[in-house]
Amino acid sequence: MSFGTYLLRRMLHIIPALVGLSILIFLLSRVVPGDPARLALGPDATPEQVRQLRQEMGLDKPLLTQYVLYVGGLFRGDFGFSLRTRRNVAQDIREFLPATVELTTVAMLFAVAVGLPLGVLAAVHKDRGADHVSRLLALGGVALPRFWLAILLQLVFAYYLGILPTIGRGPAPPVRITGLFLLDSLLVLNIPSFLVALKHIILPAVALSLGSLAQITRLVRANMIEEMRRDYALAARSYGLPERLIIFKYVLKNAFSSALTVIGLSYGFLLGNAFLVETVFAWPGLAFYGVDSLLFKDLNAVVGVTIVVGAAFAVVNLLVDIAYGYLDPRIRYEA
Amino acid sequence: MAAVATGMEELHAPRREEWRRAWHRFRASTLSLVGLGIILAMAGAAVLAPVIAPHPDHAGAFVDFTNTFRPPGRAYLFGTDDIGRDVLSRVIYGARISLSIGAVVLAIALVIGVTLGLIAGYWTGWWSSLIMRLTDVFLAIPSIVLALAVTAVLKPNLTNAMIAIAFTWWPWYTRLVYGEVLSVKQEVYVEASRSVGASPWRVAFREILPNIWSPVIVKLTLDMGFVILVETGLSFLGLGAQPPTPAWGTMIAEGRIYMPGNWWLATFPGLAIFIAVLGFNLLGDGLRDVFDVQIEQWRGGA
Repeated sequence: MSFGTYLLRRMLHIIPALVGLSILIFLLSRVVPGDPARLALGPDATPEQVRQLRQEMGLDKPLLTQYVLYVGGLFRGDFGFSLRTRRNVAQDIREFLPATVELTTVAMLFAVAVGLPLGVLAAVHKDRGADHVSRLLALGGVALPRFWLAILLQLVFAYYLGILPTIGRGPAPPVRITGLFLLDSLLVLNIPSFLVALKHIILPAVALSLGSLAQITRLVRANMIEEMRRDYALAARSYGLPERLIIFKYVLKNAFSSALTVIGLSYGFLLGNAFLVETVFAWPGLAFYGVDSLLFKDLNAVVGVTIVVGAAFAVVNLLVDIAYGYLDPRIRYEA
Repeated sequence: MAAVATGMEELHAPRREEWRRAWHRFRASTLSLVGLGIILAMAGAAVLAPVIAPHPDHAGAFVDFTNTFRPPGRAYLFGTDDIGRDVLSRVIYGARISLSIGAVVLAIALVIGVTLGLIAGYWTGWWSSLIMRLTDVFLAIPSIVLALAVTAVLKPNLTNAMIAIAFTWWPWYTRLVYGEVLSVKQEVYVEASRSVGASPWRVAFREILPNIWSPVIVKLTLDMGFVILVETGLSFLGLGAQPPTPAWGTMIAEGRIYMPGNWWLATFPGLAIFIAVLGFNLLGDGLRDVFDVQIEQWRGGA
């Protein structure tokens, strides 16, 4: 199978799951006890007003029609009306999404940037100091509640030491291009603004990334140890190639490509935990918006956020699969 | 009939021997024993909470305005909260909530997940692929996000948080059991049972099911920790247990308001979550090595 065909097949693969997800979430939002229209208008509304709003919201139509209308809307970028912000949910999502994309991306990069070398170090120094440290970190990283870690980091670095900001993203850079503060300030070479954004993102990103970091460390370690025992590594060693070259040029590439899938899946952890970490740091992202909508029972917003998160998760895993298929051609034939 | 009975006894003896050997292997790992110790201590604390908590009455809606915000000390080991309740007692009672939620969620997930997995794996047909496609849909989204969406349509309370988490959790068991069933379906003992005329139900539930328990048990142990993480997260967001219930997540949410001065309010319940999850992870890792099973531990939301 060529790489192109593989790519296409993978892309087609996520469609049924996303359609299923949209049906599931849609049904959930329609079995809500109590009438969404009544909820929106409050207890003082007359039955006539409720009936009119139901008609406007399309709630008087059969469920299937409602779903088709809803999905049609999704494709036109219409996610329905938010009861809380009084705007189209799509507009809200566009506003809040970049903050979450920025946070989860930085957290993921941090997890890979630290977890990868740590895993290599642990594998090379198996059963010695560095390995024990990485093991402790991995055990702790998975078990730490992310929101609690966020609070502790906030307490120590923001309140006690006062070296990092407590909450928020800081002021927006003067020009909005992507909505990602770090990127936007870099694009116009605004270094002070970049540093401000960086200072704000450090604590939430570290709190968010620890679990993924721990997983990546353990997995890279395990894969490295397995790969180092393979024949090709042995052969390279018997040829007298320097150990450093064997590890970094041959072993690491194979160990990393099999760790990739987990990196993709662990992006789900990040998205899920972003709901907690964003709340602690008042990070104005999608999760923060989603939690507020939840507490307000703003169903269109909840459905919109859930579908966007599902889509983001699917896209990241697709990208990972593509990278995996590129790095390891065998995968293309198995698929 | 007598011959059958002797056969059963012969079967049981090696099984006991197997357990004894498993325990030996388990005991060899210090970390597994630490995990087991943590879980036993936590279960003990949960059961004996009214006896061992210094102030059992502080678990609920107790108020003592003369004792608010006492820092940790001899009288109150973990300090007191904004209305004078002993944090230690509340943390001990919190173990009850987290453990029982974990148990109920996993019991529901287990019954639904295992049944569907068994059906999908043993009887092939359109419903089999329907079940598996359904699990794809559920796994296409981080479980905590789906649980949040479910709580949105329900009233925020402990029971509904349990329902929401269980709703997102069963597909993992369906997947696991499905894979296991496929791998043992062609084994000789299954064939043998089928050839002597056992009904499909008997083969599925009496022959296959008992032989695929070990990965399920390992997964259950590890999942206890993950469910506790998700449940405390929901409670932290105000979508699970409500005050004055001494749930760990709720306590952290309430204590956070009084930061940074009263650090102990959010710190100790968080520490309890950490230790509990660590305990289940260590125990699960130990069991996995003992049973020698490979299961994917990477999940979407916990």
